[in-house]
Amino acid sequence: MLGSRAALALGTWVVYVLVFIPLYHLVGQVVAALAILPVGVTGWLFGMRAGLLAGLLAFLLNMPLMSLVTGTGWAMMTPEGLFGSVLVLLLGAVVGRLRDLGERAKRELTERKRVEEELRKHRDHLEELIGERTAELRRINEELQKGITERKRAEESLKEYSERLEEMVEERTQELREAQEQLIRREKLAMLGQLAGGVGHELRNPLGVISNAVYFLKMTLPDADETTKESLEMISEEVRNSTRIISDLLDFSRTRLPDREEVAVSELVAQVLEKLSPPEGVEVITEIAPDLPPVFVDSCQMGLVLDNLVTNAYQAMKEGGNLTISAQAEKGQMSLSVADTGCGIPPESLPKIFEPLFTTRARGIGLGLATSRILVEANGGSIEVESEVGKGSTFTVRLPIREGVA
Amino acid sequence: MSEKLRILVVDDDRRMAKTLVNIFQAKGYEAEAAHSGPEALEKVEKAHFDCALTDIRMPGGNGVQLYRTIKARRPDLPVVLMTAYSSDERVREGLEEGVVAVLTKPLDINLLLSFFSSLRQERSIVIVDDDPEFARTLGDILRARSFAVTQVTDPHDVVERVRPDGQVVLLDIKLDDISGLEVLKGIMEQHPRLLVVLVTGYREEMGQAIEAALKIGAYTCIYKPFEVEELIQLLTKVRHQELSRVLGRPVRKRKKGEPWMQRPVSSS
Repeated sequence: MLGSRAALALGTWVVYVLVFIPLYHLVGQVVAALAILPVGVTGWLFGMRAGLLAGLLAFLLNMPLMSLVTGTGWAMMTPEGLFGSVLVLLLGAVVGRLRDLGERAKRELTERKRVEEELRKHRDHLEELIGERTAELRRINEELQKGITERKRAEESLKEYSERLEEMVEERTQELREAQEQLIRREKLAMLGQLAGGVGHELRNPLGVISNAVYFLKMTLPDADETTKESLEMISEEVRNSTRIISDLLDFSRTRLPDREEVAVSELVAQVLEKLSPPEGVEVITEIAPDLPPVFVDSCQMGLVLDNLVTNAYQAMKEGGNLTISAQAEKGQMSLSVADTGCGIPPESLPKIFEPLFTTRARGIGLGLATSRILVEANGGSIEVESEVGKGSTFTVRLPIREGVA
Repeated sequence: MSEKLRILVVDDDRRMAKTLVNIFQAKGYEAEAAHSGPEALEKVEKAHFDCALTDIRMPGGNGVQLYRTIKARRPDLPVVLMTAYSSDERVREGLEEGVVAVLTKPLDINLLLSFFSSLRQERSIVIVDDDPEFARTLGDILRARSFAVTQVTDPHDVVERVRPDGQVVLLDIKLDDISGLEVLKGIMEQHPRLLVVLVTGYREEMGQAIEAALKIGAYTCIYKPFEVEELIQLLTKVRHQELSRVLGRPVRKRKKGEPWMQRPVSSS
C-alpha cells in the first residue's frame, strides 16, 4: 500500500522531471508551475506534512532544472518563481490537509462501522440471551401455572373429601348415638325387668297367703254381716288385680328365647278366643282361610301377644262392637290383624303405645303392648297399629312363615 | 281308699302351708303340713296320702327333687307343684317328668277343690269283652286295686251302661256278633269325652281295625296277654292326665314320631 503510493508519487516526480525540459521549450517558465502535479499527488497520497515537504522539494528541484534550461542560477529567485513556488507549497499543504481530513473521516467512519457492528453483535447476543431467558421463564411460568392448577385441583378434591368425611362422621355419630340410646333404653328395660321380676315373684308369696286367708274367712263366715262380706270381697278383688299386674310384669321381664316351631294361625287364634270370652255386646269375627301356611313362631309367646291384643280390643269396646281377626299370607310373611270398632287411640299417643310404662288406662302399668312388641320382634316379626278416635284400632302383626325368614 | 281324702301340703313358708291346711280341713279333707322335703318324705312313708301339693323353691331340696323321690316310692301318688316363679327352669323339668300340674301362687282355691273332688271320684272301669272268664278275672284284680268295675258281655248294652265321663272302657276289638269298631263308633257318638282302651289278642289280624279305631278316637291299644302292672301303669297315667286337665294344664302338643297318647281336647 505504502509501496504503491510511494511508486505512484515517485512516478509523477519522474514524469515531471522527464517532461520539464521539452515542455519548457514549448511554454516557457510556466512549466515550473507544473510542479503542482507531483506536489498535489504527493500531498494527496501522504498528507499535509508530505505536501509541504513536496512543495519544498519542488522548489529545490525547480532551481537546478531552471538553471539548466535558463542557464542562470537564480532563475527561481524571481518574484514569479518565488510566488509560484509558494503557491505550489500552499497547494501541496492544502491538498495534504484535505487528504489528512479525508483519511481521518474515513478512519472514523470505519471505526464507527466497527463499533456499530460490535454493538449490533452485542445486541444480537443480548436479544438471543433475552429470548432464551424469556423462553426459560415462560417454561418455568407454565410449569408453575400447571403446578398451581394441579394444586388447586388437589385442594378441591381434598376439600370435597373432607366434606364427605365430615358427612360420614356426622352420619356415623348419629348412628352411634342412636345405638347408644337404644342400648341405654334396653339396659333400662332389662334393669326394670329384673327389678320387676324380682319384686313380682317376692310379692306372689304374701299375696298367696292373703288370698288363702281371705278364702278361709269367706268360707267360715257365711253368715257374716254385709259390711264384712263386702270388705272380704274387696280384698279378694284387689288380690286378683295385684296378681294380674304382677303377671304383666313377669311376662315383660321374662327374657326367654323363643322356642319356635310351625304353628297354624287358626290354632293360635282359637286357643286365645277359647280363653277370653267377649264382653257383652261384642261380636267376634274370624276371617282365616283354612289353607294358610303355618307360621314359624313360639306358640306360647304368640299366644300371649294375641291375648294382649284381644284383651285391649275388648277393653276398647265397653259399649259393644265387632272384633275382627283376619290373616293373610304375603311375601313369605303372615299378616295377622286384630281390629276393633272401639274408642280408638288419639294420634299423639300412637307413637308411644309400644313404649313400656305407657298407658291410657286408669289401671294398669302399661306393659302389655311393650311386651307384645318385644315378643313379636324376638320371633322375627313386626307389629304396627292404625287407629282413629271413635272408629277403632287395627293392630297388625307380621310373622315369618318359614325358618330363616326373619 | 279311706273315707276322707288325705292331702299333704309342703311349703317352707309356714303361713302358706297353714292357710292351705286350714282351708282343706274346713272343706272336710284331712290335710297335713310339712315344711321341707325330708319332712314330707317321712310323712309319705308313714301314712297314706291321696295327693301331695308342694312348693318348688325350698331350702334343702326343691319340690322337683321331692317329686322324683315320691315317684320312685309311690308312683300312683299325684303330685302338684306350686310356685311363685313361673319362669323357673324346674317347672319345665317337673312337667316333663310327670307332675300333674304346676300352679302359680296365689293359688286358685276353687280350682284346687274341684281337682280334689275329681280325685275322690271312684276310678271306674268298664270291661267290654265277650269272654266272661277274662272279664271276671280282670275285674277281680282291678277291684282288688280299688277300682269300681262294670262288666259288659253283651256289646249291644255297652252304650247304655257307660257314664258320659270319668270312666275308662276296656273294649275287646274282636267281639263275636258285632264288630268292636261298631261298638266304639256308638260309644264315641254318645260320649265323645270317654276314654276307650282297645284290648285284643290278635295283633296282626286286627291291625287295620285297630288303626281305624285309633283314628276315630280310641285312646290306645293293649295286646293280650298283658301284665296287670302294665294296665295299672296305663290307668295311672290316664288318671294323671285327666287330673292335669282338671287343673287346666294345656295339652302338650305331640312331637313328630311320638305316639298319640293324649286325646285331643274336644270342642265343647
